[in-house]
Amino acid sequence: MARAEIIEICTGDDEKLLEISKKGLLSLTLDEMKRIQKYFLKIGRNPTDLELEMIAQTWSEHCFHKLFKSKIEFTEVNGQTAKPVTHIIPSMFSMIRQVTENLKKNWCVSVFKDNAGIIKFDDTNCVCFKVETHNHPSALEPYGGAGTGIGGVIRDILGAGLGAKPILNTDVFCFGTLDFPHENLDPGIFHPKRLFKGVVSGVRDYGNRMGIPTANGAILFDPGYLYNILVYCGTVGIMPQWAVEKKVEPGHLIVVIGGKTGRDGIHGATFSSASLEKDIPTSVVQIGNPIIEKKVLDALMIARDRKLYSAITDCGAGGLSSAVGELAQHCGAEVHLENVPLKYRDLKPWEIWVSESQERMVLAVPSEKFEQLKKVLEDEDVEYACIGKFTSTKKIKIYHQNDIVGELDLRWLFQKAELPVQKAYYEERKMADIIPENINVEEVLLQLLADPVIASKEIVVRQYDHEVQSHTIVKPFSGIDGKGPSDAVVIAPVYGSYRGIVVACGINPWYGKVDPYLMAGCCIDEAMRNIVACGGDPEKTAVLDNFCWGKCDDPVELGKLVKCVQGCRDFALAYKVPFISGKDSLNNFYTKEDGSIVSIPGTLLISAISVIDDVRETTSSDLKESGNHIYILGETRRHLGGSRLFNLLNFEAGQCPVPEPELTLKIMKNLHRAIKQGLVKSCHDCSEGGMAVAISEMMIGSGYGAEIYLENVAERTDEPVVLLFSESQGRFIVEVDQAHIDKFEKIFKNLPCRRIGRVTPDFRLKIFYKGKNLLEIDGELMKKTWCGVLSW
Amino acid sequence: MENLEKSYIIEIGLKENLFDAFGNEILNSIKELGFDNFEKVFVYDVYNVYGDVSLQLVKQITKNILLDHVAHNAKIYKYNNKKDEKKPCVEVWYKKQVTDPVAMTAIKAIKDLGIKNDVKIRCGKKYVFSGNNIKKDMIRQISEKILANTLIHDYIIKGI
Repeated sequence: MARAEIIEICTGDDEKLLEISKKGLLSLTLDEMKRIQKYFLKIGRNPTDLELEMIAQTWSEHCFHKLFKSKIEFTEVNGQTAKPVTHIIPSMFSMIRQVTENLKKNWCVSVFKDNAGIIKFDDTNCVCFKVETHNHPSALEPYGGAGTGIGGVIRDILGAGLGAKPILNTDVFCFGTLDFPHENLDPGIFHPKRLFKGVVSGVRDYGNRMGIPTANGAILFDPGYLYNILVYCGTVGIMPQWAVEKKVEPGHLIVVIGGKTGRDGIHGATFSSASLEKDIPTSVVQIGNPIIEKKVLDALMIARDRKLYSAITDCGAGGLSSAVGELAQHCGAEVHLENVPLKYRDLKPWEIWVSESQERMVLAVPSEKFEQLKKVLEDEDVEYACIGKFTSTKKIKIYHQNDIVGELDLRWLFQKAELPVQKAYYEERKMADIIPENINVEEVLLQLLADPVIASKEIVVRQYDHEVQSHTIVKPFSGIDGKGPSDAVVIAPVYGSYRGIVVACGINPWYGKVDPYLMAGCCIDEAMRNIVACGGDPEKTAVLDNFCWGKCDDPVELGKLVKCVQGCRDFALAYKVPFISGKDSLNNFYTKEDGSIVSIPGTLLISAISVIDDVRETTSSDLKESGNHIYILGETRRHLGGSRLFNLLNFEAGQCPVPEPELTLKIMKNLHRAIKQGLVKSCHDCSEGGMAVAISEMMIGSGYGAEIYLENVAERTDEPVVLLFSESQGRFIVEVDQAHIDKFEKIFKNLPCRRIGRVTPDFRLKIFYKGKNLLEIDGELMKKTWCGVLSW
Repeated sequence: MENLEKSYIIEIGLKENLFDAFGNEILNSIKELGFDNFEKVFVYDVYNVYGDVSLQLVKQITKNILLDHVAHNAKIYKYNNKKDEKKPCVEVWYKKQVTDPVAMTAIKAIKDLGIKNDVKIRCGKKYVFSGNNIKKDMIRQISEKILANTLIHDYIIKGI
């Protein structure tokens, strides 16, 4: 039987230390290796391989989020200052946290400390939400990577508090463009279409087999994601309020349940801290087994309600090392690795300890409850093993068949290290203000409807079971033939109650290419718009941030990230939405054969969740009746920078949308009131492609047409191209029937609310501008164009 | 697989009259690669059953666990690495170290059926191609670009 190896580090010089880190795929820096050397010199021995692995995992970017906790020396050049100004930022994480602390929302139950953010749902229940990324694994093996991505975030929900029941999955993907020529691909890089299909299949199979509806998300395509795709997976769960707190006490047993441990996913945590390179070992790839996780879920829900354990966490990145380490952090633990159920026998102790085999959870079990827990697990056919107990020694001691293979001081392991100060630099991009001339707006609208970013994602969404658990109220698609896109999903998770939650997202990397600060505001605005358009309450909305960024040791890339985080802070405060959870995935870049580096476009996903009193007081996006009035809420300005129109025309110019939180929040609150009062027949937000695309999508879902008078859209009329395709934030298209227009207009008195047209019986879009017929397109053609882009 | 005498392949495919959505999707992907000479792709689930097994036991496993009698046909034959297939085809198998959840489930089902033998299973896919002038290098490209991920899969081209 393999034993632990002793790694000679006490005598090593800098070069040797770095070599140990590199050879062991530990991703530890020289400073960190020196800290380790100092610790072991002090206790007078060399570390074992297991100890080094545990340290590397605990301190990895993935588990410790070093960059988000680091001080940053930030130099900025902007229009106002002209000269570079440098200041020190305590940490990016503190900026995000500041929002939630300042807003003091009493319905935020547990934020930034558990596996997921937890908010109040009703008098007895809480809901929790977590979004993770699984980018590197999905780029290497799309099916397995995406499947284990969703499997992992489901376990986060199972490990939040004492465990929540997963009720909804969300997913957002970013791929390279699907028409990229095969012959131009670098060796070892999969074609975007293959990645697309693989990722979708992975999420579909895992989510469907777990019996969790997948009902919200987005899919983006941009050449910048050719080498590094992004796969965001989210899960929402529901749990009783008493189950929010976990408690680990000395003497509690450490019980691992679920999947067996193999060599899968070894070094996932440290690997995710590095960029994608060639010569990837097979072991970093994991294949999920949703059937095992489903059994774990069922058993846990029974055991939780019988209060058979006092704490729980999932085995994610870093495996048992991370899970047991986290639980034991404030007390201590003794672990016997020979008790861990293995897939095969020849695993070394360190491999057992850091393996990232899927579908495993770790519980802290009071010894008197163990027999009852065993019974539940056996009844549900879930494998389990007691692998040790929690102690009060503040140390973790790991045995393998009577040998001590590791012993570390947990206070030292988890102590806040002095992180190196990072340098970041940001220079505002100056963009020329261009208005495209001589464009055929009919052709452009059809081209935009055929833009894969805008086009229908039905081919993907229908592969997901979005109905299982039978509580999906506003579904991913709406309208008479289920073709119209919904802005958000609404679910009513408690049987017999109309109380519900609304879930949506906002993402737009193209604004970030122009201005990452404004991108953050736009993403928050979009996520909230989607929530409010379906009936969500802007004052009871919480958000999650997920940053995916390129090469962050490059001060310019880091500078953009800092600006984006500042944007998150400032705009979240302005919109009064607290962050409840977040995650960062850094180093999404690729080194080409010639040494050049390709970073992804800095990408922020904002996921939003809102609790509403009554799911009957919601609305969908499809037009409902001929003759009804069409309104636009919000101001349309010349915001074409980063728009889909400028992407289509290949224009790198223009002002990207500038959110107007104060105004928008007023509009949102009033719109929420109007929807609650039943004044709104349909509602859709204006996002990619602007007003023209928004109205087209409302038509496509309904079979009705629309007549729009463009000069009514804005106070000061601008070029028709701007009015049609500008992506100004905070705007909604709303359908109101004749009987309710007075009431509706009264609610929006003194706010930008303009009547711009009517719903017509014939399935055609007609747009007039100052008495002239500007655009007329057959609805069937629009529908065919919009629906026919993504094929399998 | 160690003992080829006791290593069988169970090959399960859709009945001929049924529409093969998966095969069709792969054919589309092949055409997107630029190989217009391919006319059809047949997809089979293949199970390599070995260890403590007999032909009779393999038949029992096929009939009771793996086969959907309404939609599928099954073929059982002794495993061999010789390339004696009639049509060009490729088999895609997980590499040895990769966890094979379907195989794990199949082994569990065998135990649940009351079979005590130490049966081992590997799961794979087999793709059989028809068309004009198919070359081995085309299948190699198709395997690497569409069907197999060499990080976790091995593929074996046969019949050409």
